[in-house]
Amino acid sequence: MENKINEILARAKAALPAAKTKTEVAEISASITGPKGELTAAMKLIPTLDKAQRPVVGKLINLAKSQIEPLIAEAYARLENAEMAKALGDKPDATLPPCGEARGTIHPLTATIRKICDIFKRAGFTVAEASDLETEWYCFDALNTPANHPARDAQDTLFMPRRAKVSNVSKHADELYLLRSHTSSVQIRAMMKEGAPIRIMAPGRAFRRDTVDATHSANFHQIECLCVDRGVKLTDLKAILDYLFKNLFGKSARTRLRPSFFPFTEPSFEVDFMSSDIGRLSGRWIEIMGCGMVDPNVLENVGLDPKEYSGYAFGLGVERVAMLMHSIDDIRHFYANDVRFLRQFRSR
Amino acid sequence: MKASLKWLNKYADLGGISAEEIAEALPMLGLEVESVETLGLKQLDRVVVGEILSREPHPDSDHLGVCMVKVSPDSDPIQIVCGASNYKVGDRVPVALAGAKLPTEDGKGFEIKVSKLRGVESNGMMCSARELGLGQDHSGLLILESRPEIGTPINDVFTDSDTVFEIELTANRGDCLSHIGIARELAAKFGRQFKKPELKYNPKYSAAPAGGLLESVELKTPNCPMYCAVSVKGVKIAPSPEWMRRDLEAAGLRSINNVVDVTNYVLMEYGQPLHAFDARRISGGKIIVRQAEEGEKIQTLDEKIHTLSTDVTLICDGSRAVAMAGVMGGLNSEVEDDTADVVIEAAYFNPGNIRSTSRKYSISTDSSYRFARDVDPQGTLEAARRAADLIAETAGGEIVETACLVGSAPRAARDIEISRKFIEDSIGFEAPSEEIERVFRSLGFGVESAGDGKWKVNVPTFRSDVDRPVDLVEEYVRMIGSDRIPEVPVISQALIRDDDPLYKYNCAAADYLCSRGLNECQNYTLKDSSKQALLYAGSELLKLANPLTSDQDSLRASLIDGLLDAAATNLSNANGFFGFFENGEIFRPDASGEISELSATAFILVSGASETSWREPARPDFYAAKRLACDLLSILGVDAGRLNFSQVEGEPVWEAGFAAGCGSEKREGFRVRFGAVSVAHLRGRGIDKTVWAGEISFRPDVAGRKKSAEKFKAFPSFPPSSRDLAVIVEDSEPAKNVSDEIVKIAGQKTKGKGFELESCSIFDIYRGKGVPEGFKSLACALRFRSGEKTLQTEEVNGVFDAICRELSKKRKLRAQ
Repeated sequence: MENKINEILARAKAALPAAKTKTEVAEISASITGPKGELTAAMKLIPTLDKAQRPVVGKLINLAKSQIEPLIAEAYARLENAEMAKALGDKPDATLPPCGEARGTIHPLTATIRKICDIFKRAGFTVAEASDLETEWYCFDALNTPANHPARDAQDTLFMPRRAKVSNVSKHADELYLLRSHTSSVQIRAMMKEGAPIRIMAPGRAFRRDTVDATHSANFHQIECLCVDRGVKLTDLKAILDYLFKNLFGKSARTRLRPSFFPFTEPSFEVDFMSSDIGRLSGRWIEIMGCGMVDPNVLENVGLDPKEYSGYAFGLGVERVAMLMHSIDDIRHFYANDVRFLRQFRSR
Repeated sequence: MKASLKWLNKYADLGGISAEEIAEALPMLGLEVESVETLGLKQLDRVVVGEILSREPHPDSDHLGVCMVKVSPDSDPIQIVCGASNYKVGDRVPVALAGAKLPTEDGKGFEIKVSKLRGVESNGMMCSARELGLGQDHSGLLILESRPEIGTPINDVFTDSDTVFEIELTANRGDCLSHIGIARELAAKFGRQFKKPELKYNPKYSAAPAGGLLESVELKTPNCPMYCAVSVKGVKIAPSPEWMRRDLEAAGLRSINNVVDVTNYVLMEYGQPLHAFDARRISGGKIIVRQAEEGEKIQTLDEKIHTLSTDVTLICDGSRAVAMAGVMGGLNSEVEDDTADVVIEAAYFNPGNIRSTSRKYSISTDSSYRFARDVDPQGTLEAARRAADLIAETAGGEIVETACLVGSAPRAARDIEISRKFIEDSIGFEAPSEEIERVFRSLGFGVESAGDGKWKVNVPTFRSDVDRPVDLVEEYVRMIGSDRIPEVPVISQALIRDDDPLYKYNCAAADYLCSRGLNECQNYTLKDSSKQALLYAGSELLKLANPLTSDQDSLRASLIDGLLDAAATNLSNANGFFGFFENGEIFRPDASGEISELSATAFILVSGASETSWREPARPDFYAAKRLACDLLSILGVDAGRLNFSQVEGEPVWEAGFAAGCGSEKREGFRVRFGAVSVAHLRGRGIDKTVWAGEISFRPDVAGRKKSAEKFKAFPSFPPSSRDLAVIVEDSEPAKNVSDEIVKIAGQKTKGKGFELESCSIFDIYRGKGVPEGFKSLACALRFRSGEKTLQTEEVNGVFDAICRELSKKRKLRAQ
């Protein structure tokens, strides 16, 4: 009896791992553990044995069964895995290019805007938006720009006809609509709506009546930055500028304020920055943008008391920053949308 | 304007300050330096006067000579090899000693070294004029005929060198359009003495001076609040003296004659434009300042004839216009060679009026440029007196003792009260009282202490831009230098404010489309109106009033055109790509003619434009476009599943029957379109591939519609039970009709059964065998589920059969 059981066990150990199909496994397992299987038959013989033999043989049969059953399961698993693996198809060639569309690209201007907004965000600024179509009042008057200022001339700013009506851009009185010549108009809309304290950045398009060339574009992008609160000082303006340019152009970046003039800030400055990390322009002062302390007249125009509040503002040219950052020599690349250009800027 | 350093030195003692230091200081004062030009001899070190003591022929060259040259009275002569031949022994010439750096055209300089020329040592170089940077003469050595002392530095021989700064001024600094103004700034910055010219002519003023050349002056326009005229009789027109010609030329002006030069000199000196009239030409001895009559004509000095409108201010005599006020004189009254009696006009004109005239008639003169920037009205009389002095000096004649003056200065000096605390609160760092006082005084302001760290500051009229305490703060910072601003950390209090939802939407939409393989574009907002007119109804309302060019004369009505431009560009450059998208503002007029500014996202998928691949990529189609459009809506916060899309008709940009959409910006606040771009339109643009596109546009506030946080809904843990059915419908029947019908029937049939139809999805569309021509079979998967129990086959079958029976009353079911 013992020999018989060992023989069955040996056969199972040999046959199951060698089985080539699930049917074969089924047949083998039926022939051993099935109702008509040999092990089942052996089990049935137990009552015919000596009383003393019965538990010994029973144990042997159970032991054999517990060894055979995993072999059956293993055989099935092996064959099922193989079946599923077939669905994997042919072995791949790791050197062939991937299939499906590669990730697209974020336009370098968008990427630059995001980068700058991320930097400001960490300093507690949030994004404000306003329309590209503006009115003379929001674009000029509210920003303390006198009526006869050259920027207001039809030679420099793009106007809509007198008859134009715009459903979702509010007018102050009966002034003309125009395409905003700077994003500073967002300051006005935001302060009028939200009051102070306020700390915003406003990325967006601006428009000038310029002939397109390597450095001029019919539209361009700016990020307007405005902070108005109690006790904002010139030192705070310098601090945020240093913070911005160190984040953008490396820790070695320095800024310099050159006195200038804008109707909406007093004092006003041109910002130059210098970095050792900007290729062939390293170590030179580079003129980058205008800035200043918000003119008290602007605060009054939006209904804030200049005795209580003060602030700073500046408008950063996105194209200019992107051109410096990536050594792009012609502004027209941004608007030609050639993928050989777009794909060079795959950063987040 | 061009400022000559030599000229500036007449008013500010800038001795010992190099031109480079001044060129660096000016921009930090707010006076931008466009260029720096050196006139005459540049500063040259180690170039001295030498005398040639002897010349021997070079042993190894026919044309070189070996000279002994004495370059210092106290040391031995040095040996120099020289190739020139125009000199003789005993001549004195410039000698560049070893270590000298001579100017070169590339600006790098040429350093003189001890060297051997064909074996003979040469310890320096004798120079031609060109080698010193003095003109182009290179025919031989520059022989110094005046025989200056041996060893004299060459800059002491050629002393008329000068540096000219081309200065670009901001609109607020009209006062610095003059040498006096710039000198005042530099004197203040460097702590040097500043002095204005002494004036000898000290007239009385009267509206109609006796013995003058004018009978009367009449101001008939508010654009000229003050007019002064000085009469000079019996001048002799002649060339100006050398010093005046030099100064004028350094400032970029051409010398004409002594009288005209004086007016130009004072213009450059004081920034006050003057005009000299030939008294003979002033008809009736009358000056009338008035606005032009509509259509009135004048011929200006440049011989151009202008037809004027009433906004131009004119200077007229008894019978006609003699000048466009503040802009340009008339050809009919200019000073000529035989002029004897001249009237010098010194007036103040309204800056805005001069600016608009100058712009409108495209005449920009030194005069209009200054008047437009607000000339110092108090300086007007000073300038007239200075001109009288200079005419007396250069052209003789008799100055009439009483000057004519009508009107008065439109603004006066003003007092501004300021405190140290105000300055320090504005700038954020310490401002010592003594320094505050010193700075304001150095700028020519009157400073009177009001005690307790307060002052009354009197700002003279030449500073039209300083009006308020905050303007004085700017002056203080300007003069102490912005490098004094200390470095402090950014300190910022957190505010309860989030990014504008439109920005967030744009970021999410761009990231989504980018991850789907599309490249983001930026296209111009301005489009060609004639091209837009073919595609978008009402687009003529989007035209600008003053476009620069006709191809950019209109606001864009859609982003798709720009994307098609991108496709065309990349196709023609043989660049592989999958698709493009853009986020941006578009503009759409409604039926009433009102324009709305809308935010939009558009995309295009170009069939077969991808880079060739070893495995054929999936081609984009209508449903791929719909996927993107619906996902964009969902990013915007619109549940696309609830929308009813229908075919788009009558929109030329889309291929009829292949585009769909829904919504309206007016009604729902958003609009969506997707499908195939019109094939005819594509071919018209030279694109021979099919393009699937989509655009969602919305009023910007839609992005910010308040959405409360989603509330969790519990979902059943019991398994679903699925059944399939197929319905045969006409080809044109929208699938949604069928699924809506099934959902409706299922709703009735499951009523009270304790379970419901969870979803009904179309999983196959079949045409062919078993389906008649012109029909299609829609296979639908119905999924039932109960929230309370595991469904039994029989109960599901019962409901499913009831649905099929109901459906087959109107529709033909296909056997499964």
